[in-house]
Amino acid sequence: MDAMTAAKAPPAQFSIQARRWARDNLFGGIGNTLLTVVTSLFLAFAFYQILRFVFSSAQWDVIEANRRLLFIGRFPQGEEWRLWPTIFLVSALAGLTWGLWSKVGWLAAVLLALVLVPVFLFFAHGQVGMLTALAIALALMGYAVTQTGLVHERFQGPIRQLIVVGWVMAFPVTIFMLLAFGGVDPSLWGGFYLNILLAVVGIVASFPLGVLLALSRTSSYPAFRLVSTGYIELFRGVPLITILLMAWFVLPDFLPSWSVPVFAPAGLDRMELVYRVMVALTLFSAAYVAEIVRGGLLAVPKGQLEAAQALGLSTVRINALIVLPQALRAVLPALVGQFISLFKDTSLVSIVTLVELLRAGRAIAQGQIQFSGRDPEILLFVALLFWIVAFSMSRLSQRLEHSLGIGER
Amino acid sequence: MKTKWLLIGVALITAVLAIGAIACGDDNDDDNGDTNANATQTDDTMDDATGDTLADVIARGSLICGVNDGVPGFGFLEADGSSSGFDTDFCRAIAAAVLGDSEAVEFVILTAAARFEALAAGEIDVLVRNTTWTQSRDGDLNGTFATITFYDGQGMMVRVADGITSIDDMAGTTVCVLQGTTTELNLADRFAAGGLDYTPLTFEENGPLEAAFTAEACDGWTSDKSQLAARRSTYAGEGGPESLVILDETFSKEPLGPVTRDGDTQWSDIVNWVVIGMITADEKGITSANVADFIADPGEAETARLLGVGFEGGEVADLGLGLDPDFMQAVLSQIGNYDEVYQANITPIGIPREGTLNASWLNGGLIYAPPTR
Amino acid sequence: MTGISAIGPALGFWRNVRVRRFAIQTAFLGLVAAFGYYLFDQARDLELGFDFLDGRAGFDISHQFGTSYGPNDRRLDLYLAGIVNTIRLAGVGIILATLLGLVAGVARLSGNWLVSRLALVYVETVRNTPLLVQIIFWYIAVFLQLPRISDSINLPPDTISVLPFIEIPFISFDFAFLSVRGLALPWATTEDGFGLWLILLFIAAAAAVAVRFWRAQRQERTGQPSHPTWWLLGTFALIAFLGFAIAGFPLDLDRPEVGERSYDGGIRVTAEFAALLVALVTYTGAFIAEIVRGSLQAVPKGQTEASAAVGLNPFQRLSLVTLPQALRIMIPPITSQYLNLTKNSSLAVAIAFPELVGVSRTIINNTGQTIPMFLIVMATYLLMSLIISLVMNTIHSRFTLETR
Repeated sequence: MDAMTAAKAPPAQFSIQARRWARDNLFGGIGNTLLTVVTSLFLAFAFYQILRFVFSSAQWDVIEANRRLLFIGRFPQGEEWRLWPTIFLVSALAGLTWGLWSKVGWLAAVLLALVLVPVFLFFAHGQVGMLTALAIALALMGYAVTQTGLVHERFQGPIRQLIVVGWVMAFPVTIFMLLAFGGVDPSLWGGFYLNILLAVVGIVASFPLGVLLALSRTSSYPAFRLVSTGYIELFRGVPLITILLMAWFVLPDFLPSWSVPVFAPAGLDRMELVYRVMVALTLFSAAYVAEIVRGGLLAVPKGQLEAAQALGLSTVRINALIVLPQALRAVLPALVGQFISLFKDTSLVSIVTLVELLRAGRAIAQGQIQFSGRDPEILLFVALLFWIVAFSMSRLSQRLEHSLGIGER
Repeated sequence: MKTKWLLIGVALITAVLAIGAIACGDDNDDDNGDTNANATQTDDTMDDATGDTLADVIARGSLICGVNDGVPGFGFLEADGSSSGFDTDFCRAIAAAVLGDSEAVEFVILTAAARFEALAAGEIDVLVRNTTWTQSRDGDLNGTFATITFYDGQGMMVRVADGITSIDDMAGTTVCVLQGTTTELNLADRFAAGGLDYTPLTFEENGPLEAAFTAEACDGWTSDKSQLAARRSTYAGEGGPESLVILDETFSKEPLGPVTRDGDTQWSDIVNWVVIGMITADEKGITSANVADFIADPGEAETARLLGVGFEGGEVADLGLGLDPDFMQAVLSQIGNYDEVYQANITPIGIPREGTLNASWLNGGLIYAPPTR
Repeated sequence: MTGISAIGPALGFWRNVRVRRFAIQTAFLGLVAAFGYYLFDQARDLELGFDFLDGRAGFDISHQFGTSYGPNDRRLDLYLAGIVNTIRLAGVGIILATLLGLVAGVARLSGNWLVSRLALVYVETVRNTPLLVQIIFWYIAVFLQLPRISDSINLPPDTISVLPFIEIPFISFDFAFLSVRGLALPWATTEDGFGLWLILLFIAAAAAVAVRFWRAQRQERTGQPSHPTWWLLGTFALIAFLGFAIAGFPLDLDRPEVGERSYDGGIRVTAEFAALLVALVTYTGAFIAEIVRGSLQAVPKGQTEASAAVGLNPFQRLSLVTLPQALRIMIPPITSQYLNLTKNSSLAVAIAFPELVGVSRTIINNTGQTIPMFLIVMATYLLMSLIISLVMNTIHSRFTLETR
């Protein structure tokens, strides 16, 4: 299933085997040889251009000077301690998760290291560098702990449960750290941190909503079908940017004026833009999640449903215990794909002027007069950050798919 | 499959009907011919947005100010995430006047195309984002403009090598312009007046626009002259700043100033008089460095009124803005007067104050403060 | 209601399935209606109307296709020009993305190691970075790096440099020009007799279809390969060419020339349009490539082996056996990619291509009519999505019928 693991890599020593590999995979017949030559020329050209830009014409000081803006946007000075606990927790969990549920392929590991090490060396020094190093160390330790046999077979189960609990807790911990003890106004959340936060909120919130929509679209009640079909087709039919713009300008006109004092510090009482954007992303993503889950629901054999009904289970229990687990398992890869999409779509939030990664980057090139015209460097860096997260997510999903045996039963 | 399309059809028809119904409702209002009633009705429905901005700001403990993040000198993001610039300093001044703390500002970043929507929606208390005062913005867009902080004018920047000396040489050219600005409309008017055909390249943000101009994808770049000057001074393209020229012609007046929502005169007055106070202080030579001396000894009656102190044993005059009479003390000590703000932000981008429209009227400019009385 | 008594008095009427169904659905619809009414009620208080669309636009837009609306036209006209631009972008994009996706998807499964790796790198890079970043990147880092108009690249090039220091003359006929102002291509201008030629073209098409039908029948009857497609094309080309001559060569080639600030004559593909198109096509193409790969892998291996055994070459195996079967699986997911491409074209606003969202935002900025304009924009997209879905569903159902 996965080209990277199934890669027929050339053997180390140059032998008959290697020559045979080359003949089979590169120079079998005139057409194939021609293809190889053309592709090599193209690759050489592309590599030359990229390397020339990265190491010669690009001036990376613009990134170095604006690290803070790119990663945390307008987050107030002196409040950074609120962010580190989440970062440590997530790194440790990520390492453990990778270790327990999958193995890192050598190619992926090399790729990630090649990308991450120089980036780290270039852009993280001083205190931030130390803390970042600590986060990376935690991730590596998490991975190593699961690999070196330190963990006895007996503890694997509990550790897995602990990791799941950890992931579930990560989100509340993050929000707590951002809002507790005085809190940081949500309009100041920003940078790449905001992209990740928005994606996580979107994923966490749109998943249950999407499942509900899918259930109601496949329900036997026409009223439910009508409403959820209308919802899904409406939100799937229009671009996200229009929904975000609606959330920006139109939504406030339709909101009741809440004045619950509990919410006041979090800015929820006046529904700050960040929250409206979260609502928009959730509503949008839920429609797509619903269609994916519906596909899974339709794939569950009817016999399962009938058997459950025969046992006298209630509708809620049938769905929760029998139908949904099977349906979700089947569509897990598609779901992760949707979540990656959602993560990338958080870049559109730049259009409604939240200072997330892309907006911060573009503001640098426009507003800081000494960095005028450095768009290519900034865009490449922005793309790289998105790529690292999205690529890791897609790899993890493939491993998960593999270890759950999806598509193999 | 069939049911699906049936359902979608029903949904679409419902949507169309709903739109129609809303539109009809509006027509009925128009039939009454009572547009004023309409406007008040709008204000009522948004009363949490328009009502008492001053009370909202005080209750919140911070001022929400709409600013730019991509115009050097006027409003941009620093590497540490803070907002800087001429416009943002006025936001800070207003916060100092109302809350006594120039740091009690939340900056909301807005695009040109979005600023009035944000203002109308109550997203921000005041908009200070190099915004031109026009009749339609006062009327249609329900904004109220305060005293002009910067006199600008739309100009055109071209390459020297192209040999263009006036707008009338520009028939058949491509012009880069920012979306959602008055410049976009002025450009159309100016070229129509000259009977010139042209192609506008309309960008949403300055970044790609500058890249396009540098790559010679367009022949001219039209914008406020102050911004053109700033861009020209850092032009990184072939030939540097010397290869560009800003044409003499100013084809529109662009008076820039802070904007508040219609319907809250008290708040508009406060914003207005903070700006006027800063200009007055400039005229009287009161700066952040010497304001303490003037508080101790105002020296004349108007200065005493400006700073909210008694003069020669007299009462402190409350001129009725709804703020403490000494609100300008915080503004001047924390931010400074108009000239200080100008010198700190606009001079560094290559536009000295002397000799321009933005010099004080005492020096032949247009910056002039009504009396503090 | 008789059902209740049949069940027995012990159970209340709320246990009746029909009653419950009715009650739940009524309550649900009531809630939805209440919510809808709330929204409607709030919207009624705002000043909403569509009259502003008839007002004078006051602004101008570039990239108009077949129209030349300006500041003196209605806002609606400019909005319609924006819709035309969206359709143009989406239409060309869909075709090219399909082709790229097919090629890349097949390349992913290629036996050539380098080719399959290249396809993998392409897919994994493009799919995992945001489209908005890619659009801006293509525009600024690639298309704006082209030479200025006075240094336009001649296509085909006059000379080719084999090595940096050896240049050999190539073709001195300047067919097209490429610069930062776009790609200028020759275009045809019509002359008298064009109408006649169009009629002859219809006749050619009819004749070609008839010939194809005849050849196909012959192949069925005799079992000999009769190349119906080649005959179809041949017939059409022959009659079309003869007709062209009969009508007195009614088309003239309008070749572009490099002017001082723009190209004169021909047609121009601008850098903005090209950057958007490339970004949208490569992005959507990567997703389509994965769909194509998955669908091809879903075709049973026996099919390929059997067709190889019959002696088909790899290209025939793909085009005649595997691809048609994979098509059936891939049409629904590809449809949703087409929808995505159409919706994603709204990101054009970042690089000065005035499609419908861009124009609508200028209108909103000039008039303050946010809600009505957004309602129109959303209705426009819904309509386009609906049409694409309908077309693709028709294709899918016809295809399914044919193969079964």
